[in-house]
Amino acid sequence: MKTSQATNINRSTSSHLTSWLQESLFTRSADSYFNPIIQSFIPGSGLSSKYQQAKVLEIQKHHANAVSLRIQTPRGWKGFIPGQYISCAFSINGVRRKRNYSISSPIDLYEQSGQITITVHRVEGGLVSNYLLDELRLETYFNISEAMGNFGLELTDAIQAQSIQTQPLVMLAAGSGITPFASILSSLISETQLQHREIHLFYSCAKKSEHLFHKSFSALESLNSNLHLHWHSTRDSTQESANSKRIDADLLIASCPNIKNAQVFICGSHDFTQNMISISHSLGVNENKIHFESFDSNLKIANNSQGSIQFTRSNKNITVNDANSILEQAELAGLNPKSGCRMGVCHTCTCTKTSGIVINRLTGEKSQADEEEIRICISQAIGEVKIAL
Amino acid sequence: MNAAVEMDSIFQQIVQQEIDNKGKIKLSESQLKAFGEEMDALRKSIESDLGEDDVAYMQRMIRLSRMSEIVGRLLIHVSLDPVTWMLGVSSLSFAKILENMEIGHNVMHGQYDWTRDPDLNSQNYEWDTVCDGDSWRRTHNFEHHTFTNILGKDRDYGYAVLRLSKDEAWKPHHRFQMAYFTLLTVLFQWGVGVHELEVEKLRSGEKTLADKKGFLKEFASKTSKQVFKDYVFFPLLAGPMAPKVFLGNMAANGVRNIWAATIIFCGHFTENTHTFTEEECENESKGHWYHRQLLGSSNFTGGKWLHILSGHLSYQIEHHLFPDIPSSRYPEMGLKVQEICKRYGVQYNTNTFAKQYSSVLKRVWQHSFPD
Repeated sequence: MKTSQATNINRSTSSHLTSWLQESLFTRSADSYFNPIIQSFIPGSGLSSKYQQAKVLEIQKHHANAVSLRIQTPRGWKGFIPGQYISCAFSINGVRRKRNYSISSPIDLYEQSGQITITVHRVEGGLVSNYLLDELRLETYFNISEAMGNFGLELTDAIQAQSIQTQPLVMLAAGSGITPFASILSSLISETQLQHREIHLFYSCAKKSEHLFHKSFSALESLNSNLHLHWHSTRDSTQESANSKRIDADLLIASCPNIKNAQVFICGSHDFTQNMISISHSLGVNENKIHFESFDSNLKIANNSQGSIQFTRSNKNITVNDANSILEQAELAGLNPKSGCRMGVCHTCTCTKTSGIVINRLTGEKSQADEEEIRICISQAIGEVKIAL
Repeated sequence: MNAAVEMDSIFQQIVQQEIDNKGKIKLSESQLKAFGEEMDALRKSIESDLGEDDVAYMQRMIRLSRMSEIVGRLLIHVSLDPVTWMLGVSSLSFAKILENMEIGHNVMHGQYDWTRDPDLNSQNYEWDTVCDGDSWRRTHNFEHHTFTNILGKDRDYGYAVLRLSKDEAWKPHHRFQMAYFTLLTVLFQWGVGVHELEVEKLRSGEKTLADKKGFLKEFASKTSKQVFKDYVFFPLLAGPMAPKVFLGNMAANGVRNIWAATIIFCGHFTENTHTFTEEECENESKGHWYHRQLLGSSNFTGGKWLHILSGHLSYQIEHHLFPDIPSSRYPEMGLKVQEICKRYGVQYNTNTFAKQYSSVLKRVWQHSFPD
């Protein structure tokens, strides 16, 4: 006990000393100092994982509005659980833009080559998705985070689940919500331990032509009699088959009578996810067997100036119904953020807007909804805004 | 002495005329409004044009500065003859000047915040001088750039030791201000480093040392790191040759100090830069603010590298109008600003580097004496 405390203290003193030395010799850190030099000789590399970048190896277009990127992960990247996502930072016309994308490739590919794929759907007016679909070139380098998210199915979990035979695995996907299942299915299906487990994938899109991974999923289905695919297209007027309708309770119970004992995984838009959760409940699926992830690229924007600000570091939420700046709102909420000129000149109050849309009072321009640095003295929140304060 | 006083009064008359002809109150409120709107429009046109070329330029500067720092320190380390040593000192001086002037100062102004690159973020950046980044952001970005040339509010005006306007009462110690000026030039980074201590307010009793505890802690922390690097670590690496490295680093810091001070004095202390009173600036409009920034700043002309090594403070006017627009855009903005000024009859103070600096010397000398 004592020795471990001593080593802890030693370790913290030595890390303190290392960071002091780095600040002394390089003003900030060795990796930030050497990074521009290193990357001009060896693109994508860096002293620490923070600066190492992934490389685009292959761009596979599924259809006009969806693309898969096969990328080489950097050295020291820690791997992933099928179903997880990564945050990617692309430099687009000089601006670093971050987006989250689910990994869509099997774990085997990563274990053999350190490669993964991410699959991107076009978002109307979306800066990053349009860039990735239309402009991205091979060999581009970009920063990726470690894999994140609780929406994952580890092989060990899948095998160790009690009475596997009687616990079907039900996956419900809508639109681009298919991507994590692409990774989960292709990672798990070939495992012999799982060959007796009943697996269903319900995959709903607006049109039949929008379904991704048709070929690879069908190949899996033909090799594994325990896998059942259900393709749904909700807006194909020509198609009259049963599968052209929406996923509902009747359909689920008809395809998988044992659903109340199933592990259910749901991924799609917010509305889809909520809908599927309540359907699962109504079919008697236990709360702790329902796993879900939802996404909405278009944040809800209030029509008037009404909105809310969440100060994430101090854990304060306020509603906004006046024209005060975010700085003034923060001060009214009892926070004491750094500020200076209060007219947008000095950048003292600059802090990170994690998400949401703000208006620049000087120019009247609306921001994008993603993460960026803003001057809170001249920014006004519209809708829901998160500020790292 | 008498002759000097006489010359001074003649000079003052000339300055007075300048003010009356092109001065502060010439523009009407509606003209100021239109003037401000033209400046806003210019700002917007450049902002919407920023892109990867701007980032690439800054990254080139960063690489150049770091490479020449590495080369400089290497040459000083291995030098056995004065020529190699001098080359090393030059390379290190160049690196420090580029880092302080074109990279650090501009990045810390938020000129690259739009890139969302954490290494180009104004609030994260730390530069290679004893002046702590946070202290600089408070005194320079906020105080100086907000209250530019307002006597009593802009502590950069004369750095609280120099008398540069006859609106400030003459005191006997101003007789020696040419000497303070020289000392401030040579030790510039230290002057800037202790700027926030507000010695004049400590002396008058307006502030106490206890008020300055936070600042002193920051200052000690930053200073010890800088001193360790240049005067302990790299000298000791050279073993018995330590003194040569010590002196080399000191020379490089000195060259940087003199250069930075010279450039910066040309920004606000030249012959025709105006000062303002607090009353004049109460409730000022955006147009009035732009107008004050313009009258309070001065440019100098020169070649591409003079501009780069001055951190584009050769475009001090544009820098004060648009402190958070990337500095490499100032030359193109300058042409437009000049054109706008011409239309409104507003003074645009520019001249050669030599003429502007000699007018600074003249101004410091003339205000050494009672009016």
